[in-house]
Amino acid sequence: MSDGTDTSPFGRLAVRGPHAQPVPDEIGWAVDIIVAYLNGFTDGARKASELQTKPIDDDAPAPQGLPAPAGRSAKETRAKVEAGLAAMTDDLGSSAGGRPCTIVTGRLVRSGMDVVLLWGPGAAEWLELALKPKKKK
Amino acid sequence: MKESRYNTWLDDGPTTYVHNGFSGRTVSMPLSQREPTRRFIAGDDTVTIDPALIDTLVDARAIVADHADELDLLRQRYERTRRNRGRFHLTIVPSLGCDLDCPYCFEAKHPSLLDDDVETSLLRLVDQKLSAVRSLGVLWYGGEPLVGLKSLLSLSDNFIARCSAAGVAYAAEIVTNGHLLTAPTARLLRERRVEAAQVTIDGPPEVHDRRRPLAGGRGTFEQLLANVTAVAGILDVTVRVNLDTANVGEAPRLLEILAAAGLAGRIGVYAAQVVATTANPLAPSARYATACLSRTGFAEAEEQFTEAAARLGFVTAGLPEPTGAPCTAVRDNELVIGSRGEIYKCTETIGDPAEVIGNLRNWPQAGDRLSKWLTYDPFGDPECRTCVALPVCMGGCAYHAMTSAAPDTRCSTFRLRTEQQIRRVVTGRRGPSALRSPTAGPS
Ligand code: SF4
Repeated sequence: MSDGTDTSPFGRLAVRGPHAQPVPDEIGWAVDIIVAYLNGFTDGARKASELQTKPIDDDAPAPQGLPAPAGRSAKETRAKVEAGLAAMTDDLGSSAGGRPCTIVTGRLVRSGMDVVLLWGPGAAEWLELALKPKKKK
Repeated sequence: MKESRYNTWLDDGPTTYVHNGFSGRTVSMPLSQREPTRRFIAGDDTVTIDPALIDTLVDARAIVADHADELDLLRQRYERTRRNRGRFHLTIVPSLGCDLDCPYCFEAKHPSLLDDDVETSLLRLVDQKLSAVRSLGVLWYGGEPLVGLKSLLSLSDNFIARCSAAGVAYAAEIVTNGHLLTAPTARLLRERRVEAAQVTIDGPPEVHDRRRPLAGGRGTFEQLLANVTAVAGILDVTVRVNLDTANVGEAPRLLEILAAAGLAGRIGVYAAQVVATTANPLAPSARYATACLSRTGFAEAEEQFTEAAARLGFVTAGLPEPTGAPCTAVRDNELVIGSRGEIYKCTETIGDPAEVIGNLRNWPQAGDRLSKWLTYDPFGDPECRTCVALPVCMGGCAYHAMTSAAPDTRCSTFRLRTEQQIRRVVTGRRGPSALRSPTAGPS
């Protein structure tokens, strides 16, 4: 695990759930650490990201006054934002209620490998099915 | 979509700023965009908005999903940090004795050096932990840690060797009164991975010497100034100034003296509040008669101090950043080790026999008195639940919440001066995050 000062090595993370059975401490902890890491929190403190440390004015959108909305109406912007927000909360597990989770997956960008944590009733069976080579018809 | 409950909006001339406490980010926009943007977030699609600005506000978490429960997300953040078992942190007291005799000290001190037996037990504890963690952090604390330099160095060497063998990251800091922090000592510390030092200076010479004399009564200001000047290039030095009604007016003069010594740009400075804690009747602070500032009074004084320091070119406190769990006291995997091997959870309780939660000799065992700390729950507190400072404070000082006659001393000053603090940063006197969050401490 990095100390949080470099960029996240994970390209993708999904937390699916919830289910009724509580996650054991150790599994929950691993999930928490990954989710916390992706949220940019390590060791209890959020490390300053580039966005936080650059001058605040850089966050300002370029146009001054009321610009022509670069090809997007308020309605289109709302649709795009709502879709983005829905995806964002799924990824962070918040819309699913966070812990307990059933599956956490991550792809390590540098090594190109997938990391999967799986927990829940029927998890082994699910994994077996998912990994079984499909028979060609 | 909806607005985050942790947004603070403020106008400054032709520009409007939105600060979001959850992400710690601040977004600026032309003033003319403020109303259309707010109306758009509230559901009005007839306004002309800037899509790029809306995207930025989403990135900064100033706009969140309708169903997002930010309080619950913060609770998860708190729990994750509180239970982070990948990091082990120790605050260690090599010497409870101190060469200074400050009348407001909250520790009941007596001469006591960390001896070989305690060192052995401490290394045993670290050995047990190293296989399960990825980092070990140490804060050298007192009393006065440099009075116990011998054990500090020896323990450091052992920690570094063990961490290196186990592939565990190691870093340390020190809170010291600074009187013994000469350049050769600072080099010894730096070689042992001590990166930062906090030293306290309470005012110009005559003020400081009255408040922080040597045990025999002699002043310490001149020596401290010489030491800070000499070690500023060796360690990251932060000068803490403890403020109460007796010295609050003198802080600007201290800053000018430090600047005249060439320290602006070389050290960080920050103000802290003297709080009368009567919880430990054996501590000098129980008899400290000088009136403490109210929390509101301190928040105002802190603001003035920070502005004066920034004007002189010192690195000083920016906006408080989002945090997980506020301190060692409430985190599972962090302990405070006294010079006799006794264990505490809170640095403010060092030297108070009533607050000892266990001993290195037989740690851990059933009956260790951890629960009052590990069950501290800001999310059960109606004030914290509705507080704009919650993401950066997370319930503040648990000890003050439990013991202080004025419970608001637990609170982040961000709660009391939200707009003023944001305005100070956005109006460009300084950027955020320039000073690491200062370590709590008495020295
Ligand atoms: S500032 Fe005070 S009320 Fe607000 S979160 Fe911190 S402790 Fe709670």
